[in-house]
Amino acid sequence: MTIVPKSGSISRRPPREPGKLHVNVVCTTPEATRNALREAGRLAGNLDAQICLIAAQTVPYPLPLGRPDVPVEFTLDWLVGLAGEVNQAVRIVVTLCRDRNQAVLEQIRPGELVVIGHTAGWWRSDSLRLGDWLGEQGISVVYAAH
Amino acid sequence: MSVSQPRVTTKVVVATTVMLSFISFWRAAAIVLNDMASTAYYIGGISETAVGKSAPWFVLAVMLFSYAVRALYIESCGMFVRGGVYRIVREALGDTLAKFSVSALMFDYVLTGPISGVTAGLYLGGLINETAEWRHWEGVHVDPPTSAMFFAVIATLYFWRKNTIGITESSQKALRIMQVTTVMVVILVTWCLITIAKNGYQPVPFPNLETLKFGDESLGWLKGTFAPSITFLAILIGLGHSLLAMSGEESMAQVYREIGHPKLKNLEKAGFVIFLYSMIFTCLVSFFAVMIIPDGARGKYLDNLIGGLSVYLVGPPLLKILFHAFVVLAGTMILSGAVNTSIIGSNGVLNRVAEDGVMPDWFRHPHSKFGTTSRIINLVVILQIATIVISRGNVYMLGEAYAFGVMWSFTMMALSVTVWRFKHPHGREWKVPLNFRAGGVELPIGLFLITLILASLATVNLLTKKTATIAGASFTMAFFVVFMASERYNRRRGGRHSGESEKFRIEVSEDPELIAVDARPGNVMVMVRNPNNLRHLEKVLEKTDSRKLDIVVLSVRHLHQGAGEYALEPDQIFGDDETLLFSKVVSLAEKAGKPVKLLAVPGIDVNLTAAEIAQRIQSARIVTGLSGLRNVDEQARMFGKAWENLAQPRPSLSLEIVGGEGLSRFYNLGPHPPRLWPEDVELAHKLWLDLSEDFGAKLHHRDVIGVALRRMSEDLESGRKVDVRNDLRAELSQAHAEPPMDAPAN
Repeated sequence: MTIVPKSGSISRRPPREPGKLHVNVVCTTPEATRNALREAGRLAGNLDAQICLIAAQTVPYPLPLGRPDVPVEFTLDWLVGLAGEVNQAVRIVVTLCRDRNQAVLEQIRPGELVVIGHTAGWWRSDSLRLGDWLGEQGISVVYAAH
Repeated sequence: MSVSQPRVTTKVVVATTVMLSFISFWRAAAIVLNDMASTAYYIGGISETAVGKSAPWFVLAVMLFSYAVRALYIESCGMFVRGGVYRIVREALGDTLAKFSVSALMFDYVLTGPISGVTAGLYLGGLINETAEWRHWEGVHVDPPTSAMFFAVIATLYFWRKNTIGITESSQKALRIMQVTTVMVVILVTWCLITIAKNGYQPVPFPNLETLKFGDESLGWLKGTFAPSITFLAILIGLGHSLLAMSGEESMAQVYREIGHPKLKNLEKAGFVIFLYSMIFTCLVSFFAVMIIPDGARGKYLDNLIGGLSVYLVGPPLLKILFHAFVVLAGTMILSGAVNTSIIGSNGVLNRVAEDGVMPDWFRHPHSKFGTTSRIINLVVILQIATIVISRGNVYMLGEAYAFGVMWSFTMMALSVTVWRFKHPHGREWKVPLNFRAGGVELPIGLFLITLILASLATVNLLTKKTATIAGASFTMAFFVVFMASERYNRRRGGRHSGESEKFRIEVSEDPELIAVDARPGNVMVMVRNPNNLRHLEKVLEKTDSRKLDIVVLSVRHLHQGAGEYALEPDQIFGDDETLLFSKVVSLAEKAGKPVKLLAVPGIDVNLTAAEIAQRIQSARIVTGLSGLRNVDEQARMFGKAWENLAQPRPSLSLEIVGGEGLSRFYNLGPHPPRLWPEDVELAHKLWLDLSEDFGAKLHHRDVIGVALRRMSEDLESGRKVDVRNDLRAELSQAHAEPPMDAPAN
């Protein structure tokens, strides 16, 4: 499901502007996503690219796909706030899905750049695993560590 | 409509619902088995505690009966009633019984968590004690029920936290867990067979009045009566104590919406895989336990049957301990998953009934930080922890209570499906077998039998399980009273609650050139308007291979002249009518197991707007239903006129108009080779034959027709225009047979 917020400081950009580069930020944890957005903002500024913030919201099977445990409006409010911290237009896409990796992949087009934030730690984080998987699918991934 | 008229497709609304990504029957089976297979860890022990050594036969009987219950769920899924158990029971049996049914389901969910958590804890405790014994660690011993209670509380708190934050795990985990469990099952079965081949086995007595040894608590209010001495009743009691073996079957209804095309066939396949897997796993564990673990020792392992089996397998102790650890690992994963599912499921059910106004809205208030319905989650978790503490880690007590919820949920569902058969006898895609006609009425004997067996077992359970009956009835009544009171309160407040419409979110594009429908070129565009006339969409869903072709469903909100002066707000474009319409569209798509892309636009000329959208998203075919106002050819002509008004380059498009019977007529829009009447083909051929004498092989039929057309064009420009028109009039008055529907028309 693709959603563009109706209000807020986020521009309602169409899915893809022809001839323009796109930098996708995959939403993970709040801090990591904030970091990734900053990194994407820096990259997009240099490349005159458009930023797309992708949030794949996994809905567990006991719940109908259209009725996630966290309302989409709530997720959007959070994302709008997060995106507002970047001084650039950000397009937000929230996808309700059963499989996060597939849902993220569906939103990215070949040749586009993906920025994933992650927190360094003892364990290989979920964000890194997602990034590796996207890399295996032929997507260029940039990690924003903090 | 002339080109100069104002265009009102200035705002495009993409109506989007969930990303309908359909799953294979294997994945569907894995998801259901995650719920069902966990039962194998405890049902053998519970059943033997209740009825003695012949318990495996009862487990086998219940698992065989689960095949019939599977049929019940397939029929209920095929009816495609949205809204889960509550909706199905309400439609069939009314509000009161629906509330009772949901209350019983809640009892089922609340008990699923504790029984799974406690069982995982018991397995873990068993492993610790086993390892300590093997390594001779003095003083290392845990009391299994107490440690199980603590483990269950910790697991419940962990998943409480996860659910409060919002679950983020991918459902891929269900498949992984089942893969690990399958490896464990294969090793277990093989190793047990080797053990039996080497050491022999103890026979499993077939149940009869001599072999049935009812435990102290397994007769309940029937203790001391003559009832257990009647073989039929004794068998029913035994079955009642083993019925938990098929708990989780109801999860089939959860995955049905997600199963890919052909949906019903895939559901049948998934059902068969579920039946086979759960029967092999659950039954073999019960049988092997009696066959391999010595009678004198088995009592010690009734709470931890697979762990006990691993102790009595042949082989070196280290290998057995490692396998025991593997059993515990797989068990902890699958059972912890069940704890999580119970919280998610309860949350989902209570949210759903709250939407219907039978729960106070207070419960649905979202968590300020995480947005989840934390109050419902808190309520469920408090009830679960209270249950764990009250049970003090006694899995038998939990199992007996759990059976109350499972039993009544199944019974109410069976009763509802049976009543539905009479209320809505038509339009079923699949029926439980054994249907006979008598006096023009269909008698669903198969359904009657399933309902009768379930109702009998539920009644016997009421009498034989004192604690479960008291606890279950109290819990169910408490929830029932809350539901009734809340509904009355909400009704008095005049609160309106949502029906079964989808919740659409809309993406608005101000720029008509940039429509956010990501459809591949060559897609099929289906025009919809009337939610009660979607036969054409059904046909497209049926015939289209959605892996190769995208299906875009378009609704054009008709605007009157002058309405384009002010841009419409998204809510005006996508109002209640569109919500209802697209809800039906999504429902049909789900039923077919094929994804669709939705689009709503405003337009003064519906045909022109549709043609413009088709041009932009590079559709190859437009499909529409038969208009009630025009005949099929006139409808196509109007569309053709709209096509002529498209901006250049105009695409090659075909139009399919589908009648109420599902028969189609096809039209090519714009310039295209005509389909000639047979006599005209004959005439062209005769002219070509005559003329080819003079012009030789260079002359073709097309040259003959080309000259004829150019001469006609010249005649129309000259004074012979009236003659041409008269000829055409005469041509049209000839009684050519109408091309049939389901055939090209031009």
